[in-house]
Amino acid sequence: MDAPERTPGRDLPAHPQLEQEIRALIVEALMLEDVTPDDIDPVAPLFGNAPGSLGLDSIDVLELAMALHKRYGVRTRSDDDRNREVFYSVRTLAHFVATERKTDEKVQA
Amino acid sequence: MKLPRPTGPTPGEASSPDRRGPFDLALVVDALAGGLPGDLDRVVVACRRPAAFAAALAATWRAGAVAVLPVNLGEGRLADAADAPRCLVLRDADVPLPDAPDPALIRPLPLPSLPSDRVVAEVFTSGSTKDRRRAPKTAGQLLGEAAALADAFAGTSLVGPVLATVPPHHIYGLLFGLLAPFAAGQPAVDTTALHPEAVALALRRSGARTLVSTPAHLRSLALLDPGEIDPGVHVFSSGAPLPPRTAAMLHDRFGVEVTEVFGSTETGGIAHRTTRGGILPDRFTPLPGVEIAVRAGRLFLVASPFLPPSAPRPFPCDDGAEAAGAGFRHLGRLDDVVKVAGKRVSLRELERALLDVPGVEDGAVVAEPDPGGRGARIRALVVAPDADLSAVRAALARRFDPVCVPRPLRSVPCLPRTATGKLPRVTIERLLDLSACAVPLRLLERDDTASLLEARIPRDLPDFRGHFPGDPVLPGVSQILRIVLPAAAACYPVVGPPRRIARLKFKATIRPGDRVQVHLAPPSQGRIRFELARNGGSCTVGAVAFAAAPAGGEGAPCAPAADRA
Repeated sequence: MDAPERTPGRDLPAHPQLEQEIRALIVEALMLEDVTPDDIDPVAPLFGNAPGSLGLDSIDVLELAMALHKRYGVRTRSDDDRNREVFYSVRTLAHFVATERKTDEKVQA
Repeated sequence: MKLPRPTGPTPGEASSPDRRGPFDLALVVDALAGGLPGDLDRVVVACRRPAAFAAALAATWRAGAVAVLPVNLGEGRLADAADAPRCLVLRDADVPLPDAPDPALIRPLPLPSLPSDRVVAEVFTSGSTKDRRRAPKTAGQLLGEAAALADAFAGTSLVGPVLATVPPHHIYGLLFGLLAPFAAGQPAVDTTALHPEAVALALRRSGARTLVSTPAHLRSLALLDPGEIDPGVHVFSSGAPLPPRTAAMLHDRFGVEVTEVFGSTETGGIAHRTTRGGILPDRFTPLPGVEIAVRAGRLFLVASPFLPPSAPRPFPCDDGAEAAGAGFRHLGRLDDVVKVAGKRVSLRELERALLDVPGVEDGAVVAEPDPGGRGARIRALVVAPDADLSAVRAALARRFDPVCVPRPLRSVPCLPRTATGKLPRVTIERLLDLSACAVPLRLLERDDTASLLEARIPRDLPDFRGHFPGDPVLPGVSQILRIVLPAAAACYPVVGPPRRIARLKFKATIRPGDRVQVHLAPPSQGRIRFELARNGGSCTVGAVAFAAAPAGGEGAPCAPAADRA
């Protein structure tokens, strides 16, 4: 995946608790036993070869999508361009999970 | 080389009279081919959109040039791919596509009739970048295989429109997503869908009847609700062994059947099998034109039009097999080449590369079948007391595809090699397991009578929480799990799991930030005696008993794992 021109999620609010959970989930789901959750910069790219990136690939992204579904009941979008933005960093993922969960609660209420 | 501006149709004015129907790339190809320089040898086809890729490929062939398939579309890889004389890169922006509905269907392009020994494409082989070689593909190999696939599957399982989750710059995506459908006169879908929701939507909106994918991609379709994929869709899977439970899931959830195609980038397609009721038959049937033989448990290709012309015949595959009727049963890989997510990587090569990294003193790499969809999982141990693990990983990532970088790559103070330097696989696996939660350990001295290591106790170890508020000490169980067992397994070829603590005496506490000397005595009667000390003062002494080797485990050579399906 190419690095996007701007950094997605730069202006998103942080969800510290959720970000911590997602960092732990990434390490666990992707079996990154030599990376600790604290090693993952919440705004650094998760995928691709860019400097500072965690270097995950398209198979990791699907594994992670499955883990997020299992944990939070959220499903990714039908638009892969949008998915690339959602899965850009821990911050964008946390924002996505937070937003989806809110929508879910509204639907159920 | 620079591409002159295309003189043909600009987006919007080219042929797309019917926004509903498949769109025709013929004019786009004409325009593109007309704009290519006459003395072109190679074109790196770096288009993301399948329609752009198909047009660029057809134009490349019309210009008499070789299409180079980049490893990925990152600029670094494109620069590698374009590192050849008289070579041009074609990107999406270079291909003037007409407006089309989303997702558009691509009307099958006629495949060129070229002499079968003419080189039409170049792919990069092996997972290693440094030694990555350009492998030429002839018309007979690439277009011949497309024709053979059309011959084998058209009208039954290969019915258009065809949607792929694998991009066309990957040879499997190219063959199954574009060339085979075109050879069968079937349209392709102009999108590469990856996420399950995107796959379901693209299937529905395009009316695709065939889904071309890989086991790892297919596995994630379990996120979809039952019925979200039409039972009339047929699935092709290749790139790694298809786990039976993925095939069963696809059938249970969506009612679809899967054709698994067995082959590799080097050999081309070899054989196929199709599920019935979600169950994979154990027998593969060779593709049309492929003649196989099984000798001494090894699969040979007696004849295959998809092998490189220069390859020996019969060609020895790296696969174990058993003859079965006109086909064979696949019994796993034979040599040290494993396939991770479709990328072939040699474990020996990976190990050599690991040892080449500055600061790395020793290392070992093993592979095992992956419970996920990758085919194999590579784990490694590294002795690099003064190197940063992330630097080691980065050095490997520069040479190998990211999926081939060992995960985990675990730091150990030394490797328990035998006097002759051997390292049985079972001891590597034991060490991988026991060092999972180790504190940083460094070997200070080792001889026949004893080993001395230093353990650094991190200040932020979670074990200190609650032990005790305001007065943190390292619990006894942590001393065993984080220091003694990892140190013992690194110094001595322990094969069985730890069985019990034979003796244990606490004399002084160990605290955050301490540097602890670890004294170990060689195993005697299955026990390893230890002493943990700080500044010469003894903290803990004891002995750990290990179980004997599991039956048949001991002495197994350090052979790389086979990625048994």
